[in-house]
Amino acid sequence: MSKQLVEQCQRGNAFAQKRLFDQYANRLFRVSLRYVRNEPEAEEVLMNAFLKAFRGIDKFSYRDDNGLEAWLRRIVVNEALQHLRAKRHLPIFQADEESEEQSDPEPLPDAGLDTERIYALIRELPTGYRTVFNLYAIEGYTHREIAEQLRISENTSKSQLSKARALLQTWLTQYGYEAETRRIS
Amino acid sequence: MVMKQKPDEFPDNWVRQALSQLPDVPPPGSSFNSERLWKELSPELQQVPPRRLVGLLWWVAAACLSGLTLGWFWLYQSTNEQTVVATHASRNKADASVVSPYTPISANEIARSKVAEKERPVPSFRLQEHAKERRKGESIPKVIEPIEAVVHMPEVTTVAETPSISEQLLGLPESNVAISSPKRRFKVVHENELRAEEETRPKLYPTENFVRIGTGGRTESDESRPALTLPLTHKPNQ
Repeated sequence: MSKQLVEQCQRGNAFAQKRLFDQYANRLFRVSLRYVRNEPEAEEVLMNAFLKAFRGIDKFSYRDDNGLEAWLRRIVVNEALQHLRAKRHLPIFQADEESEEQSDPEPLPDAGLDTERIYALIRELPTGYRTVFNLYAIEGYTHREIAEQLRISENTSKSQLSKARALLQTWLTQYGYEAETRRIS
Repeated sequence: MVMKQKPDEFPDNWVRQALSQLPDVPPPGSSFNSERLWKELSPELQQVPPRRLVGLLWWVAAACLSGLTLGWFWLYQSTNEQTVVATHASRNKADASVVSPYTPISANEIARSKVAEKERPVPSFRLQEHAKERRKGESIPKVIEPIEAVVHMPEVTTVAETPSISEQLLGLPESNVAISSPKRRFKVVHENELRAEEETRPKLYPTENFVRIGTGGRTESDESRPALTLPLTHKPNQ
C-alpha cells in the first residue's frame, strides 16, 4: 500500500502526497514538538520537513513501512536541529543548562503516568538536555553522532544525557513513581 | 498505560517504547490541524524547487553566453572578410590609376561641370502648415507637428568639385549647358600613386648623365647608378 503511495509521490501525484501527509502528519508533529518549544515552531519544522521529503522522495527507495517512517522521522529531526541552530538554541552551553535545571516542571493535566505524561515531561526538559536525550534515548544516535550534529564534544553530550536522566528521575519521583524511575539513572 | 507493569526494562528503552505507543493524534490541548498545514504546504509543493530553478537559470545563462560568443565570432569573421575584399578592391583601383594614362580635361567639360555645380540641389525644407498660419496672423501653436524634410544631397562630394577662379573666368553662358549632367573634372589621386604614375610615364630626355644637387633622398632605382651629391651649403672656394 505504502509502496504504491511512494511510487505515486515520486511521480508527483498530489493525491498520493496528501495521503502520505495525512498518514504521518500527527505522528511527526509529536516528534517535532519534542525538539522545539512551542507548536507554531513545530508546525514550521514539520512543513519544511514534508517539503524536503516530497522534493527528495525520488532518491528514496522503499523497503517497508518502517523504513519509510524512519526516513521521514530523520528528516523531521534534522529539520528541528536546523531550526534550533537558526534560533540560536544550539550549540548547548553548560552554564545556561545549569540555570535552567533549577526550574520545576509545569503541572501536568492527568494524574496517571501514562505515555502522554512522559511525553510532556520530556518536553519540559531544558533545550540541551532535551535534545541530547531525544537523540540518544529515543532516536538511537551515538554520542559521537550527537556531538557532530550539535557541534559539541562527546563528553558534553554524555554529561547532558546524564543530567537529563537525573532531572527526569527527580520529576517522576515528585509525581510518585519512585519505583519505576529508580533505575533510570 | 501504566509504567509500573514494566519495572525491569532499561530506562531509555522504556521511554522509547512508551513514546512509540502514543496515539496518532496531536497531544492533548494542542491546536495542531493537519488540514490547515496541508493547505499551506500544497502551494509550496506546486512551485519549482529552488535548486531546479537555479539549475535552469544556469542553463539559460550558459545558452545566452554561447549565443553571444557565436554571434561575436560570426560578426568578427564577416568583418574580416569584408576588410580583405575592400583591401583587394582598393589595390585594384590603385593599379588601374597607375596604368591608365592621364586624360586632359577639355574646356567644354569644365563648363558643363560648372553648370552642374549651380544645379546642385540645395537642401529644401517643406514647412507644411506653418507658413500659411503665419500669413493669416494666427498664433503659433505650442506643439509643433513633425516637419517633413526633403534633403537632396549628392552622393559623392570631392574637393575637386568646388568652383575655382579659372571657371569663373571662362564665363560660358549657362543656358547652353543647363541640360548637361555633372561630370568630374579632376581625379582625386593619392600622392604616392601620382609619383608612381610619373615614374611610369615615358621620359622625354635622358637623365643618366645628370648630377643631383642637394641632400635629398634617393630612390631605390637611383642607388644602383653612380651619382654625385653636392650639398647646397657647400662652397668649394672656402
